[in-house]
Amino acid sequence: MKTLKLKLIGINSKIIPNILIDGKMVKCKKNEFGSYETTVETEKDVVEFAITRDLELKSKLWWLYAFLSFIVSVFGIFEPFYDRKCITIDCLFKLKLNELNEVNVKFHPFANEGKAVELETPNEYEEIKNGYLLDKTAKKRWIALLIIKIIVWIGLGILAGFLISKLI
Amino acid sequence: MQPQTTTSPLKQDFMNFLIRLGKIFSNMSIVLVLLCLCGIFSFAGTAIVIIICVFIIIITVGTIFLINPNFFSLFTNIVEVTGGISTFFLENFYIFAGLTIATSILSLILLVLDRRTKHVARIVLSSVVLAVALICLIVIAVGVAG
Repeated sequence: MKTLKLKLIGINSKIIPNILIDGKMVKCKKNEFGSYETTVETEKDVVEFAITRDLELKSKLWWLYAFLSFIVSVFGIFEPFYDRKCITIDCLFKLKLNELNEVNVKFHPFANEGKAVELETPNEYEEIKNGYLLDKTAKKRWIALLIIKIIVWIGLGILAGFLISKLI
Repeated sequence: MQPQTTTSPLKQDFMNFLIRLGKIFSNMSIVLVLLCLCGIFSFAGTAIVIIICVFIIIITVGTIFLINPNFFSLFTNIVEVTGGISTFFLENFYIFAGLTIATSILSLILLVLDRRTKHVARIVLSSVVLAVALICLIVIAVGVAG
């Protein structure tokens, strides 16, 4: 049985990435220094190590969730904003394992492009993908939502004005 | 060792939606608790306005009525307006308090459900809001009973 100790350094608390080992999501725990740690045990000699990030506006039912949130939050008054930057993480590494393996994953500051992480490990590894990406679909949806909200707010304002003028 | 888990994207998206709802309820509970507090403080506000006006009359030994002949009507107008506001808040207090308690409990449940991120600040805030709403409810209930 091989042990893989992962440490994620420099993560923004608002942007928690998904860590996948051979396609399975791994839960990480925050330590006292603000880094995230996890230990994985496996029989394999080589594992695929991926880092991704969920965007709410990338989900299949995003329009339904956005609509329900808008209604529940009293037409968006109490609604927290969707992530405006729409940046995803796309990292995939193939990592050769020894008996005990320590991997430190250093995150670069969030950007529209460029390398996302730096791996610090004595193990051999192959970097297949490593970068921050601007998700254009999510960005388009974010802009569409903003336009729809503005139109609804203007409509509601006009309706409120009409009702008040009727009452007075 | 941390367990490896497979969460389907649809389930994860639904979880994200529930967390969003939790945040919405948390935001709502903050505004609603302020409305509850308005119910209590507007009542005190009316009393403060009356005390200030009486104090002005005493300090000026009544000469305020010579300086400003409209002082009494001004005083009664202010008391009327503040009284109207406090009546509105007190009449609707139980609605505000009920909604505050419901939204803060819902936000607490939904935010605690999130196993990926700990929403410590929001959970603490919602707990404080819940406590304040309950205290306000007891204060008003005791006041009405008294």
